[in-house]
Amino acid sequence: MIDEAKITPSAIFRFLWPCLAWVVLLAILTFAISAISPAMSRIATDTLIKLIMVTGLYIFIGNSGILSFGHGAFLIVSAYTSAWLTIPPMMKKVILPNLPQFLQLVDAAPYVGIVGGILLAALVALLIGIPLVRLSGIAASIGTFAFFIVVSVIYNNWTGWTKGTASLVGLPVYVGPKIALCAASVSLLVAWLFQTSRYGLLLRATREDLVAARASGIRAERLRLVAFVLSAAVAALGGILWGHSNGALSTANNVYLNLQFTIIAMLVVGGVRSLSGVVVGTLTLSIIGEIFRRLEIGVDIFGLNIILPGGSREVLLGLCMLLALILRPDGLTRGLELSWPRRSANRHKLPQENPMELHS
Amino acid sequence: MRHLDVVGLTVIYGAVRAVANMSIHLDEGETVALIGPNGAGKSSLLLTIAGVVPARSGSIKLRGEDIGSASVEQRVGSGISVVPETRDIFAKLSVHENLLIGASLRRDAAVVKTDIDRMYSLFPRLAERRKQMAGFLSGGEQQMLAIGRALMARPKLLMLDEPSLGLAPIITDKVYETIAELKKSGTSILLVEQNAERAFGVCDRAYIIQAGRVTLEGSPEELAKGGLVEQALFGRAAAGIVRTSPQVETAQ
Repeated sequence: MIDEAKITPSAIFRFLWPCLAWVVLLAILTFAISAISPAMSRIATDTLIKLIMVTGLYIFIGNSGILSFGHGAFLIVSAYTSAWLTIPPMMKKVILPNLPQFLQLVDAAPYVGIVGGILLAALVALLIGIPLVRLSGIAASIGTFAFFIVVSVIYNNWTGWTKGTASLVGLPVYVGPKIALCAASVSLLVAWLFQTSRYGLLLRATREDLVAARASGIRAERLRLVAFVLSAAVAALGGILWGHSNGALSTANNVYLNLQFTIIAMLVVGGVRSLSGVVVGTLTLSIIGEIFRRLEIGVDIFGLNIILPGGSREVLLGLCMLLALILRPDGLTRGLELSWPRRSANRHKLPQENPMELHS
Repeated sequence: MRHLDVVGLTVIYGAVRAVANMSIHLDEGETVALIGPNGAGKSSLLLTIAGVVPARSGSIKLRGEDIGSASVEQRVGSGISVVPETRDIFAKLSVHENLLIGASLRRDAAVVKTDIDRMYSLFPRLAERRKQMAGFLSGGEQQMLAIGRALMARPKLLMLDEPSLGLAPIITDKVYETIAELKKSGTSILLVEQNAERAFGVCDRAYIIQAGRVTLEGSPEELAKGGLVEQALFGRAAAGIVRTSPQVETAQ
């Protein structure tokens, strides 16, 4: 928490530093990579959008300690809502003739789609969260997964509104690296403000020891619900941008199950207990994933043509998560955040190989 | 004025009757000790008053108001704080954060800040380690942190469960100095101890508890006479657990 007694620009900067440092790094990477080629620019956009989803997931999992396998549902709900609002009416008449009249005629701007999608996802999170936050541990995780399956099956069979297993096309494609970067920065900032707030601290207390937290007068369920709704809203932003970056949506072939598994793996590999873990995990798995995607297509190394069988990427993803869980259960960052760079004389005393310090 | 009035309290874990029809009371500003061997039901009594463990029967009144059905959070809100035997500190959070959590129900941010500074002057060791993870503290420091956290809620009734357990004598002295200071400031204190001598040094009145019942009550002077405490603690302590059959339960 920032000390209210001394709010100066430098104090605010120091307070935001662990978050801002990552934003600056992401900005540099985004502009550098986007400049290489349009294909690289797409990869950067895709990675940033996943980062938003992981950040959303982190707000709940990181602070409450409850693993959620249900955030894919918020991605689905928000993405389709934005699609209904923003696909041009001319196209909607052809693609989704069964959509009700008022949605048929709506021709909303992108930001209306974003707000609408986020609001609906937050509302769904609130309704489903009320019973869910009463559960703890594995029961809560199974509950969230069941919720995901329900939503997934509904959207898969709700042909009139979602085209079922076929693709819903015609979404305006307005998301490029810059918009994705802005959205990712906002998400990271929201997550940072939440985790450093009073609510964040009290929620982490319930994560450490639920009984002791209750005995300190903390209303665990209420705090979890706040985090769950906020987390769903941020993840929803990612879900919406994903749709408007690809231009099409589909619930077929377990697209969202795979996506959800990917973002969970990213968070686990990076470390569920820190915002730095979100960035580190997302970047690490995106880079590894990209290398393997190339290998699946086939590359020539010293005249040797290497082609990996399709699906190696998914196997590798699972392997990374497994390795992380076995070798580094706290993730690559071990729950640490970036510390304020010190320029003091005794700098040599600091451990050089690990420039991170305990923050939360 | 009566601060706490417990009448006919019974607590049952499965087949074990941990607290059997126990009645104790505590006046405003009074320090009362509960003394007894392991398994006598002292901790269960404390946790039941705090609302962590449910009571089977009996009533708990705080300043005349029945709090038997109130949640833990509500009881904290009405001024009860407990420092459990397990020293429930949040091991992976910093010392400073632990203290802030103690003030979770308070809305007076500025006063909370001065209270935290007060804790640091009370326990200078904590000030030195304010940014460290609480799990890295020594046993004595953890006990100080647990007490400090309970005090951050500004309790009117503070319940301490064996604060000297597992601590070096010199640290125990420090903890008891703190208890004496709190007593002076007018906080009502309910203290669970096995170390009768320590408890007698600070309390106004004591209950001897055996096998879930109060067997003796009196001032430290009265109890210290005639070796009553020694007999209670070391004599028939083995009968600490009372098995209950369904018939006995329905008879209650």
